[in-house]
Amino acid sequence: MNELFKKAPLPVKFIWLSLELAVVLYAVFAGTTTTVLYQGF
Amino acid sequence: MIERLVMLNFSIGSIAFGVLLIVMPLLMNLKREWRQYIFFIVNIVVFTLTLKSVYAGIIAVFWIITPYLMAPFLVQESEKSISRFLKPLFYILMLVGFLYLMHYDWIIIFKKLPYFAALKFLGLSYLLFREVDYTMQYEYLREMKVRITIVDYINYVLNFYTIMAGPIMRYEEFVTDFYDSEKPALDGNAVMDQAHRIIFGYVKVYVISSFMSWFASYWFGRISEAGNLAKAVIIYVLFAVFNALFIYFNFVGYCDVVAGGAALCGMTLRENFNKPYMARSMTEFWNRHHITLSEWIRDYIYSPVIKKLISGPCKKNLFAGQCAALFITFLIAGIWHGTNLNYVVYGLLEGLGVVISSVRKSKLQKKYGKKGYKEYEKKLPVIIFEHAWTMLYVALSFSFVGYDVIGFIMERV
Repeated sequence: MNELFKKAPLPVKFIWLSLELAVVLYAVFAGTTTTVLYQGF
Repeated sequence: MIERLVMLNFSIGSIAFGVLLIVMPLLMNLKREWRQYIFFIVNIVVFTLTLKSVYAGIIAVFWIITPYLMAPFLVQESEKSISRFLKPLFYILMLVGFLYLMHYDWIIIFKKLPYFAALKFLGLSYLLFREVDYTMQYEYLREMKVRITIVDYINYVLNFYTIMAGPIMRYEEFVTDFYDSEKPALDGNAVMDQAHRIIFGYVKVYVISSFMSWFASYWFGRISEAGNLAKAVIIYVLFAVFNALFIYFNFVGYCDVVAGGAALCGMTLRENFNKPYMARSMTEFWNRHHITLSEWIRDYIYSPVIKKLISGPCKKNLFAGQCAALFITFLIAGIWHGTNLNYVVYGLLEGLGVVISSVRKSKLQKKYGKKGYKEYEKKLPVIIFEHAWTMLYVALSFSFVGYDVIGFIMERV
């Protein structure tokens, strides 16, 4: 996925990032209960 | 025990980390000569704010500074130097301190000792890994004239990007990379690429791994309703596979976030994953999964153990020594992952898996010869079998991570 992103033209990169960010923010604010493993031990 | 009322929650999902992701690239690029000092201050502030109590702070200072001060005394100058007693004593004390602070459930003596959870501090395990690397490599670092200052040492051990769960950098590679003046400055495209790595890392953690976790929990809850053994086994396999995928996406996502964040500050972190589920054996799996941990345990557990074994009890059978060293190494690595009995089983399974993979390879090489073995490995049924077996075996061993499988079994026996 990272390689594909690197090859994309700039406008596509902006749209791609915005969509990803929207998905993450939605997941976080929709209350995903995922714990981030390992951290802090 | 006096506990702090205000304590910083620090993980890649915390607001504090999010703010640092945005602010640090700006701060670190203010002036090149200030970078190490800015990073030093931020690392100290972040670490201090995460401390649970004043006492934890005192222990943490001791835990962090002692290896720095002791390193010159651990170098063995001659056969008669005091370091030959001091060195083992130092590592034994470190290990005992670590075991006490981690408070492993199954070490019975801990049940009789008073224990204060507020004494534990952020990144205890990963601090230990780095301190061992620094003290073990100190002589080499001095010989190679690698820059050693208290600022660099603190930046190395307390690096807020990696303190939570790695990747485990080596002192030499951290310092060499940090002061690499030939590294080109990031252009707009590179910034976009790293931003994508960070956001996609969060997608892996909060979306993909979240889904996998949901499926794993769902199937784990259905095992007791299976009715017969065959059905229970199928449901357990489903749970184990989803749980393994949850662990993978969660951890690889975390690594992407911290690697992308560090790259925006001009630091290159080691890659920790290389398509682990493409592995065809357990040995290969551990060369692709949590690579920096695998390399650390290879250098600081496997190497000394195998040296002892092949110069002592396994002098006449080197292969047996190799297998025993592999088993001990992966058992320790497994036990380290968590404090309850499930992780002991996980360690046993990992050790056993790596030994089986080594024995199988050795037997097949004897049977077919080296050239014949290469041909054998190219056969489609062999490829499918090896991929499937590795995936299932990893899933089975990982099912003891995060779920109380032993408790579940004990309830029903």
